[in-house]
Amino acid sequence: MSYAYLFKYIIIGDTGVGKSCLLLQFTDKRFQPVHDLTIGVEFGARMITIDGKQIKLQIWDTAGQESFRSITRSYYRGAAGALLCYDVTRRDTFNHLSSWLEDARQHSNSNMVIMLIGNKSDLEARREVKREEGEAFAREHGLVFMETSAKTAANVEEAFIDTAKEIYRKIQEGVFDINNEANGIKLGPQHSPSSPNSPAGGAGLGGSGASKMLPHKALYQALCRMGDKMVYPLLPAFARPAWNHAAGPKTVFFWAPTIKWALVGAGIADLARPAEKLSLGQNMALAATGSIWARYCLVITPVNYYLCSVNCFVFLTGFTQLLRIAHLRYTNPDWDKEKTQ
Amino acid sequence: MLRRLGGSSGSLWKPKNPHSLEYLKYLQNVLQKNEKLTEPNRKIIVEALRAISEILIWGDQNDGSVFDFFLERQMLSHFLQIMEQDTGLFVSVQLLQTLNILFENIRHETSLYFLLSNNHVNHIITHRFDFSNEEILAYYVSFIKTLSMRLNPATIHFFFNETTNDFPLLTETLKLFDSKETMVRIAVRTVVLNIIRVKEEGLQKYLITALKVYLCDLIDQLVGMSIDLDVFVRSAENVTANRERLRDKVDDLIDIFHYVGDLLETNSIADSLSSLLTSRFIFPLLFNSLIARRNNQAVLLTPISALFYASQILLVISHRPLILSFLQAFLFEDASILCSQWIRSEDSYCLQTAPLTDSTISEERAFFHGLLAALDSTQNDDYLSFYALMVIYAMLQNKGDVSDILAAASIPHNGATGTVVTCEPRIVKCLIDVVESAAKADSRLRPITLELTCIVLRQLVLTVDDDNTLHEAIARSASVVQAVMGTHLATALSKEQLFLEMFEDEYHELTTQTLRLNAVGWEMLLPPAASPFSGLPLNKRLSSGHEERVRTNIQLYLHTRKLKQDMLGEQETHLPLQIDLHAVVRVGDCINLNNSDLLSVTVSFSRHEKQSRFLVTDRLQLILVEPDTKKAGWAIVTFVGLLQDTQITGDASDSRSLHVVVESRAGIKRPGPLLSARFIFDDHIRCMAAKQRLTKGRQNARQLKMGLICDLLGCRTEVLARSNPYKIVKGCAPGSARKQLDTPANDGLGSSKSSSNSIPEDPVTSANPSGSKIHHI
Ligand SMILES: Nc1nc2c(ncn2[C@@H]2O[C@H](COP(=O)(O)OP(=O)(O)OP(=O)(O)O)[C@@H](O)[C@H]2O)c(=O)[nH]1
Ligand SMILES: [Mg+2]
Repeated sequence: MSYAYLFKYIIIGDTGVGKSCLLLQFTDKRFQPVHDLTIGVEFGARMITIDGKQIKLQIWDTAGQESFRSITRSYYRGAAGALLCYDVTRRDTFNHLSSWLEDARQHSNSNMVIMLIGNKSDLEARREVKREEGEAFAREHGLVFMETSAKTAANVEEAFIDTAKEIYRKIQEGVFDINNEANGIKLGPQHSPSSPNSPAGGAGLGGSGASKMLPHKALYQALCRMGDKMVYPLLPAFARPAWNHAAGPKTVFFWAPTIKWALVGAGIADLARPAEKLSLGQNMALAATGSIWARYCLVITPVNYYLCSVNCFVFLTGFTQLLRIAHLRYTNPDWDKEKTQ
Repeated sequence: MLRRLGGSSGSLWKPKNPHSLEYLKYLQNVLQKNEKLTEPNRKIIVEALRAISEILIWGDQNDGSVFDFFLERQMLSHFLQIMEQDTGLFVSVQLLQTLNILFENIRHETSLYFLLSNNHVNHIITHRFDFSNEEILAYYVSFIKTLSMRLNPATIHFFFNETTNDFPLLTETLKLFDSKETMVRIAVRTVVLNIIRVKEEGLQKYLITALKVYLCDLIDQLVGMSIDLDVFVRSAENVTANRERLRDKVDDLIDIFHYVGDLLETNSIADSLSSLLTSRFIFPLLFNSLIARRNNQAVLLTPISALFYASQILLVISHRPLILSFLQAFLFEDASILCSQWIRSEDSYCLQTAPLTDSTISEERAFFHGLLAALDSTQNDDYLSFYALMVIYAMLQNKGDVSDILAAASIPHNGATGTVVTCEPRIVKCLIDVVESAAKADSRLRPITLELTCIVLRQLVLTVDDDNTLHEAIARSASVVQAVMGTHLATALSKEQLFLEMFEDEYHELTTQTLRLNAVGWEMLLPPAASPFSGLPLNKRLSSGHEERVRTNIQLYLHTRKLKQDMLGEQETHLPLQIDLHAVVRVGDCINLNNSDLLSVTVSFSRHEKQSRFLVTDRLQLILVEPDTKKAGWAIVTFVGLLQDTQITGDASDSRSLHVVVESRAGIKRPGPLLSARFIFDDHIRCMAAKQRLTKGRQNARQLKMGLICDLLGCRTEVLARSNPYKIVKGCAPGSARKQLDTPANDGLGSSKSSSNSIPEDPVTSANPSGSKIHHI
């Protein structure tokens, strides 16, 4: 599959903190830790999207290379990002952070983005390192911090993706020399726009390959660019993150619910209608879809709160009407007779 | 009902529990049914592979029968079958990842043996994957790396066939040794190191021959990179972009040194590797470059790079036999040992035996003399001498127990036992010359070179015999230089507005920045730069402009001062510049303000952020306090800044407020000032009073410190120190017993002030013992 950039990560920290598990959890979510079976791996790759750009992450674990100086040295240098991990249930792993950090800073290129990770946050009862301590360490050394659990997958996506965002930001700022592959950043293979049949590139890990600029795609991108230029600057600061969100206005995940508000509108307009004119079936359907979807859009990727909210309203309007119908029928036991009259 | 059916008919139905033997049987069935890989069943197969690995790991930890079944049905052969077909990216990657997961997570030795038996794994290793695809390549190398982690004398026989000398894991790995991808190259090196670390006799014997070509290629790669780096050093200008490229090249090169160092720890190949290194790299390339050119065709390095590489070898590699033969040749041999040279052939290089000419054998200890000559080249600049110093430093640093051979060359090394070593007088003389060259008019000595010289001198005299003549000689020249620098500084002192800041900055730099020589060496490879635009810190380049000259002089002064003190065994008493250290107040302290003048002030950082505080000053500090609610007359310190760094400007629009900026001290990482705020007072009079107090306080604080510098430099003090008119008694935490700190210097004067005045006294009216003029800023 083609990508715009490839970022190489390394993942470091004491043995047993869960590096391999984090890696597998991120790259292959199908390994769900059930039955206390935790599985790890030392290498993995995955595609993510930042700013509408396909970015491939390659993550390399040190595993057992620590005894060779020559290996650790070069290993640090080849990476654009590093996840420095400790185990929140083992203080010694936290205490060793500074020596890891020193190593990383000494050997890596100075732009490498380092993310501090306190893993095993699911084991709250056995916690030895407070969250605040991790935060303080990160602040002191200028790192980004996150507590994760490779077991429950909490924050695992975020840890890897936020690191990528930071690298991406640095690329935009021109800090990284992207032409030097030794930095751990690689530009994607160039597709010449003139070639009519750019190879679609094998079977992807569950995505479509073609990346030709079809007319509707071009239109979409033009719209996005226009939005970036004209709408984005007008947004208040709190709303800005939403603009490029995975379910933001640049995606169908935003516009589909937006259209659904019409249903709510119609439902509210129906409030003016006398109860005997309301359809029981229609309103039951509305309430049901509303409630089902409101739940459903919290479990899909990307989690879509906007969709959730509109469905809540759909449910509420439907439900209100149902109540009205029920009220009518309760207070008017012979309601259907009236109808026939 | 369905389950029973499933059980009887050979697991046609998907069992519920994904971790069970049943499920594995079912999966085996799936694989059997889908022997032929087609587009529609890709997904099914991949999912089955994944699930199999999961069950196997579960079985490894919970249920032995799983592995029995796996072995019985030869399930790895299914893997192979799939692989043999034209799989494409998706399946190849998943297959490799599955194997990877499998081999990494299996814990029981017996399970591992099951997996490895039947030679299937070797078939997988030798399978022709499509390595032009970087993703497959990456998964493949991590797979072989994972395998190499599992090597030990017991498992090695699954991979290495002693009778046929077949070792696909090694041979396939070596094919990737100069891959473009850094991570792949690193993985290859890891695999090689993991393999040679296995202590198994047959294997070790095999490795001697099997690795011969590889090691030779490795050294030739080193040669190629060294020449390439040397060309870069000769041609590149000293600017930031070039230094970054340089750093990449140097790092790649030093990686190879480290790698060679790691390889040398294996006995079986150590001999052949070290003789390859000496005969292909050290002699024909490094040593050849240290003496006069003998052949027009030979590829030689600049002495700069040659010395740099030599120092890196000594710093990185500690394999004793190699280092001994290196030092033996370097310190004692003449040019007759050089019997080959590199020449250019088309776009690569080849090693050629060089006929000896008569002139070559003439000079004894040719390389050692080359080193001395390099050391002694400070007439022009210190470009070459820096690297000669690096070599001596590296010799002393080497961890390969080299004290005997160094002692033979009269170089004292702290590892030496018993025998008293004298120090080679020529080296000492050269080093002293470097120190003295700092004092020359228009000297081009960079402070870092002087610092390195001091480090080397200290190490040399550390173990030298205790007759003090050497120490004294060094101290003498150090003090000469110190005196010269002192006079330069004394002139600058009166001219430079910011001399105090410069001095304190440089002192701070010097005491906090330890020189990391194993990291810093390469930064000096490009010709000395003079301009700040080169992006180098001042101590690593020549100064440009008056202010930088002063700063450089301060650095040189401080280095020689320290060297002298070390040689004479004196303690530093004057630095850092300090006045009444014990009276220094810190944030959070609770201080007694009964006898101090307080000014109520509103500190406004921005429109929204305002704090109500009291302003106090002592001799050196500006202090903001908040009254302690529990103890009358005491207050908690919320901010402390040095008066000397404080700048005050009035506000034209508001006569009650002042803009106060307290610059941060050197060494505080945060950029920007420590405090920048508007101070709003109750009325105009108090505002004026504060302004005068702060202005004058700043003046006094600076004069005090300048006085100290004058003492240090031994020049006449024109400004007299003034004592502190405000009393601050540093107290203890509220609630605890009051502890009166004895500060006699402050006490007498402080109590003479009355604190009952509602409007604080204007400090200008108070007696000024020195009578010196006060300039308002
Ligand atoms: N409860 C819990 N356990 C975890 C978590 N992550 C990892 N573990 C456990 O921690 C152990 C070590 O995990 P690994 O991923 O192998 O650790 P590692 O950092 O890769 O260790 P090395 O490879 O030896 O450096 C495993 O037994 C996992 O079960 C987590 O988030 N929560
Ligand atoms: Mg691991």
